[in-house]
Amino acid sequence: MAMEKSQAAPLIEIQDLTRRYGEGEATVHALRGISLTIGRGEMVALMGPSGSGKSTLMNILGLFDRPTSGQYRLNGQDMTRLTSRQQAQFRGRRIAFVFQGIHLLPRLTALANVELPMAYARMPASVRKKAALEALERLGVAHLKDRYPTEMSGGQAQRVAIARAIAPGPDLLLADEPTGALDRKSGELVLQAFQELHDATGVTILLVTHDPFVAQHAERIIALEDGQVIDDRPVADRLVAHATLRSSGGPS
Amino acid sequence: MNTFAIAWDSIWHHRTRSFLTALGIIIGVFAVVTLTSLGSGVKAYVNQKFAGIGANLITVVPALPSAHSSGHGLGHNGGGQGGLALSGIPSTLSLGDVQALDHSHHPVLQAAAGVITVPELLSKGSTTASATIMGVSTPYFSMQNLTAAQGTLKGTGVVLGHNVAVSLFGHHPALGQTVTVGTTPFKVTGVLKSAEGAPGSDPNDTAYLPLAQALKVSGQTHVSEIILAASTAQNVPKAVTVARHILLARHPSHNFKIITSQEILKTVTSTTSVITDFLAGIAAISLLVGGIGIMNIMLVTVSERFREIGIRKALGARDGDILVQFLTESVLLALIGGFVGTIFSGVATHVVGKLVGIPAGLTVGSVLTAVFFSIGVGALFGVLPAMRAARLMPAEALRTE
Repeated sequence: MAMEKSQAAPLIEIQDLTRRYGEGEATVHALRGISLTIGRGEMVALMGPSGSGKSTLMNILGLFDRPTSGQYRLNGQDMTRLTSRQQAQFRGRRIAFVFQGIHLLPRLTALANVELPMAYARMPASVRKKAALEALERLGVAHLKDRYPTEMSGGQAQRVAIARAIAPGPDLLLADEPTGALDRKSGELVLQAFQELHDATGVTILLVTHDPFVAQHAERIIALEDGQVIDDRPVADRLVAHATLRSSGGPS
Repeated sequence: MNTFAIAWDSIWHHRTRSFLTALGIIIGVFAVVTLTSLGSGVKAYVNQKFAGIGANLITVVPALPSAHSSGHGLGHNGGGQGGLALSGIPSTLSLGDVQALDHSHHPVLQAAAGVITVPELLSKGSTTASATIMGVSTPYFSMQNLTAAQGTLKGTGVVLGHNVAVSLFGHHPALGQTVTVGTTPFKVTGVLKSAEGAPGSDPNDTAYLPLAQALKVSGQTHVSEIILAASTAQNVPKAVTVARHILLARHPSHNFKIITSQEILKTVTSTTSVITDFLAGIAAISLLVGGIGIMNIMLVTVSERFREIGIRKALGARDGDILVQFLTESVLLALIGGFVGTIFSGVATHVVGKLVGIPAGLTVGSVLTAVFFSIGVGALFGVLPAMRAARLMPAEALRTE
C-alpha cells in the first residue's frame, strides 16, 4: 500500500546521499550512500542506534544540513541547491519539526508559539490565528492557548509543539524522538496524536526513533546502521495507540 | 513579529545584567552630552558678553610695516611701557590719528577713541588702590557701555571704576576728592556705575584719565590702540575700509593692523569649540568602552540563546529575522542607556551652569548627539553578535542543551 503511493507521487527522493564530517584521518562518514523514496502520505519510522546516521539524515531532510554528495528532491525540487534564505522558507512551512526536547519558546504563550512559523512566513495575523486555533483544537489543547509552556505538562507541551508543526499545513512532518522526553502514558498520547493526524490529514510523517515500540506505530520502518540502510519494510502488525487514554482527559 | 517586544522582554528578563550593561552607555553618553552642553553654554556666554560690548567695535593696533603679524590685540589694559602695544611692537599710532579718524565725518564711522595704559599707581594719601590706569578719549565710555553714577565722563579729572571708588573712599562720596596718579594729583570728576566688562578687562577695577593727560603723565607720545565704532554691526566692513584709507594716508608703510570684534569673537569661539570637541572626544572613549560592554553581553546572550535561535530557524526564521532581533536588542539597550545618561546630563549641566553662571542646559544638538551616538554604538557593537546568531546553523543550535 505504502509502496504504491510512493511510486505514484514520491514526496522525498534521495539518491546516493553521503555526508562526511572533518578532514583526513579524523573524517567521520555519517552517511555512506543512502537512496530511498518516501511517498506522499506515508508514515515512516527511521530507526537505528545512536551513531547510525539517522540524525544526520534528518538534519539533511530538514534542510538543517547539506549533504557532501548525492541528490535530495522534495516534491521533485532539488533541495541541495537552495540558498539559505530559500531553505528558511521551506522550514517551518513546508517541512515542520517536532523535537525530542519540548522546544516551545518559554516566553510565548501556546497560541503565540503555534503562530510563530506562520509569522516568519509573513502570513497575515488573522489567517495565522485561525490556523493556530484549528491546530490546537485538533490536538485537543485549545484550552491551553493562553498558557505559557511552564504552565503545562510535558505531554501537553508536546501536543502544542505538534500543533505548531502542523498549523501551516506542511508537506512533511519530521519528528525526532518525539516521545523521548515523556513518560510512557504521555508518549502514547503523542503517538496517538500523530496517527490521528496522519489518518485525518494525510500528512507525510517521518518518525526518527531508536525505540522499536514507537517505530511499530508507523506503516513502514527504515533501519539505518553505520550510515547505510540495512532494512526497509512495511510494518506487519502496526500498533494503534490507545484511544481510551484520550477520553480520560490526557496526562496531568 | 513584534521584534521590539521580544527585545524588551529579553532586556527586562535580565534586568540586573541589562542595567549594568546600560550603565556603560549611561556614563559615556552622560560625559559626551555634559561636555558638549557645557561647551555650547560657554560659547553662548562669550557671544553674549561680546554682544554686550558692541559687535560694531573695531580695534586698530600697531604692527610691523606691511607685516601680517599675528597680533592678538585682545583687551585694552596691557599697553605697556613707552607706548608698547600688546604685541610688543613700538606703537606709531598718534593722537593725530585718533583725531583724524574721529573727525572723518564719514557716516559709517561713528567715533574713534585712543587708548593707552598708564603704568603708574593710583593712590589717595598713603592708600594705594589695586587699579589699572588707562588713558582714553571720551567716546570710549559710550563704546564700552560705561555710564556715570556720579559726576561726568567728559571732565578733565579722573573717572574711577566702581570698585576703585569703593576701595579708596568707602561709602563717602568720591566726587571732587583728589587722588594721585604716580606723583600727579587729579580731581575725581566722575564715578562709573558698576559694569560688566569684556573678557580680559574689568572696568570696575580701572581708573580712566583723559587721553591727553594720560600721555603727559606717563611721558608717552603714542597711543596703544585706537578703538572705532561703526554706525552698525553690518557696517563694520565698510568702516574698516574707510579707516584703512584714512590711516594709510598717514602711515604709508602700513604699520598698523585693524581687528574687528567679530574676528576676536570668531577666534574665541573657535578656541572654545576646539576645546569642547577635544573633551567630548575624550568622553567618547568611555562611550566606546560602554559599546564594548554591549558587544560582550550580546555575545553572552547569543550563546545562551542558541537553543531559541535554533528553534526559531527551524520554524522558518530567516538569517535576517534573527539578525534584526538581536540588533534591535542591542540598539534598545544602548538607547535606554542613552536616555538615562541624557537625563542625568540635563540635571548636571543645569546645576553646573547655575554654579558657574553660564547659560548651560541640554541643547537640541546635544540630545540629538546622544540619540545618534546611542543608536550608533548599539548597532555597531551589536552587529557582530547578531551576525553570529544569524549565521548559526539550526542543527548546531538545537544540539546545544
